[in-house]
Amino acid sequence: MKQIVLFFLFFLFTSQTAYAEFDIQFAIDQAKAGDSIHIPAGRYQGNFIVKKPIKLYGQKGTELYAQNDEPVLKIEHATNVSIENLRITAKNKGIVANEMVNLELRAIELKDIQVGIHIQRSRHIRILENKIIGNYSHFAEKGNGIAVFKSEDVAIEHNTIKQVQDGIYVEEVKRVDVQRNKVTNSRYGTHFMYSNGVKVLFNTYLQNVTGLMVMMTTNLEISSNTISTHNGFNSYGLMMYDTQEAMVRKNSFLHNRVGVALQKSSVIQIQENRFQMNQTALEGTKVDERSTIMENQFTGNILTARSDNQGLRLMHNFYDDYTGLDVAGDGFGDVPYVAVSSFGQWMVRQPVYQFFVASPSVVILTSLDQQINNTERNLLVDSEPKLMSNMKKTELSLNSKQLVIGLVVTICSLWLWRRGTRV
Amino acid sequence: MMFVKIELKQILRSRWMQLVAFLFTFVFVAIIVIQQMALPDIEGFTRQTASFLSVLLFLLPLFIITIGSMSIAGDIESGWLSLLKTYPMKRTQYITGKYVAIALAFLLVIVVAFGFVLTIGGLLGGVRLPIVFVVLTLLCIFIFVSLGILLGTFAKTRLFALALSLVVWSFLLLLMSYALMALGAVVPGHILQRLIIITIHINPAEWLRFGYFLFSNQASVLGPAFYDVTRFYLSPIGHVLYGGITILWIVLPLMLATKLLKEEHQR
Repeated sequence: MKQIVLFFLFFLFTSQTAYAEFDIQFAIDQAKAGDSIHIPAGRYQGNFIVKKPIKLYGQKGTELYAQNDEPVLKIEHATNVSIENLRITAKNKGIVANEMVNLELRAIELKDIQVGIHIQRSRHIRILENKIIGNYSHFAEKGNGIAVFKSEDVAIEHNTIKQVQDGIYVEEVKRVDVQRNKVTNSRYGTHFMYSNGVKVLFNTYLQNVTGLMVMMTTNLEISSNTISTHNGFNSYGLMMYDTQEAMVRKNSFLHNRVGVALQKSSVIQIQENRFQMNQTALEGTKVDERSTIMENQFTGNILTARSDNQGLRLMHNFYDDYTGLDVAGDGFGDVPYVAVSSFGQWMVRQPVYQFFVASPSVVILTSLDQQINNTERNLLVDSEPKLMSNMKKTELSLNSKQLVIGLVVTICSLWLWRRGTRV
Repeated sequence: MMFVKIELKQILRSRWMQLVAFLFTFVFVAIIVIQQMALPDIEGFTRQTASFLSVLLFLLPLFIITIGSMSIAGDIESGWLSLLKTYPMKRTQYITGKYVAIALAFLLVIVVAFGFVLTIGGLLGGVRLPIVFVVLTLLCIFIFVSLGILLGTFAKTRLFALALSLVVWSFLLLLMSYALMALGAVVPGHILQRLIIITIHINPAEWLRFGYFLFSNQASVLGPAFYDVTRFYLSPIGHVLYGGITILWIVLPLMLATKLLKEEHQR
């Protein structure tokens, strides 16, 4: 009997898999470096601490929760830790990691939390495929979905975050990749402060106060993101303040109050983006002359651009409200495009004016305005506006069904007209 | 019925109506061709959608109320109405007959224009003609024909009818908007917002424009300040109310026109 008990104890402490009637903290404390602990399905209350290189896997239906204000899972002063497939519920913080090297957090669902994942002073961090849902309180009373402070080499990918303060908050981090995340209904989708070497690729930001907020950060690549429906009274799709050396490329800015706002920034390249149906597509204040807005597509925006007296350098963009011709046939308009619009400036001052957008009265007003503003040569002028968008290849194929219907309708209506005059 | 046929024949024979049909066809086809050849294939509210909307709301009401009002005023001025009074025809039948004849004539104009658009669009690979746009066109005809007839009963002479129509048209399409914009410079935003909501209901042009944004799921274009009112009108009760107010815009001017003609007859 004694031998059987010893066998089971030996098995419990040395096996890479732990079983039911499970004490998670005990298993963590007993595990050796490199061990994997499999947590059986069930609800586990407590504040768990990991300080050694182990892998923690939860079976489907594993939930950790805490009823106090301490983090549910604290990971600190360790290397090579991996946590996967857990559900965490907490009053305050879900996961806190401090001074870690090689940490991977994958497929963790954090619900009704104040702060989802909090990382600080760590290196080589991978936060992947997690789902974070905050509560319904005001943004000021919430914490961030994923917050990373003073760290290096961080990858935040394929996460889904909603109803938090900042979906992803990054402060004083070197080399961070934010890829293929989706952040909705939060204050800022992603917020960078004092960081360097930032990549933001293929993310979706939807219905936040502001999609992307970048402050005092250098060396950024923001590409292929969809930033849509940020149209509160203080909303921006992308806001960059005191930012240097950024490439903003191939993003879609849709339905935002302001698509992209640049303030006190330098060496910013905004290229090949799609600005559609924003109230103001571009806004610039104290933007240096090395920054360029190039080869973008502006369609259906109420106001294309506005700036202070330093202006914005517009080059080779496509504007759907450009009325010039291309007699030379080089694909660029022969007269410059001037983005200044009085109605747009009024609308920015008094948002209620937006009701009149594209109304016949404003169409006439804008036409008159463009005649007057054609004398503008310095501010918000694109001297070579692209005339045809390269986003769509024009195919003059025949739509026979529509052609036949059109011909039948036309002939019948003309016949009716002729017959009507003879009745 | 015979009266409608005679009226329809006269309207379709008029050079003015033929010119209107040509103008509409030309403008719509021009917009379609430009859109098809020079613009990206994007969904939602673009400046090209806005061009269609502007042409529709700008030109169609102008022609409808001028032709509608001059048709009635011409009958009064030429004595045709006095002659008709000798027949056993009620004022309501006269007004209804006029309404049906003018509305049918403009429907034919629009069918010709849309037929050409589909034909040319078919040659260019196909165009989209949203159903909301077609319905908006029909409502525009039904409402403004009614208003035109009312203006005609006021005017009595063709010249006065023309002048009155131009004044009303410019007031509904331009002056009212400009007045509100000017007011926005001196009143706070929330008051301006309420004034605009009132204007939506008392100005048929704004009512139709609002309806277009509403039913084409593009209400966000009007801005967050109108979120509540658009949300209400997108509810089932809102739909019913929209239909009710639209019917009122058609029926009330016709009733008023009938009443005016009766009073004129009594005098």
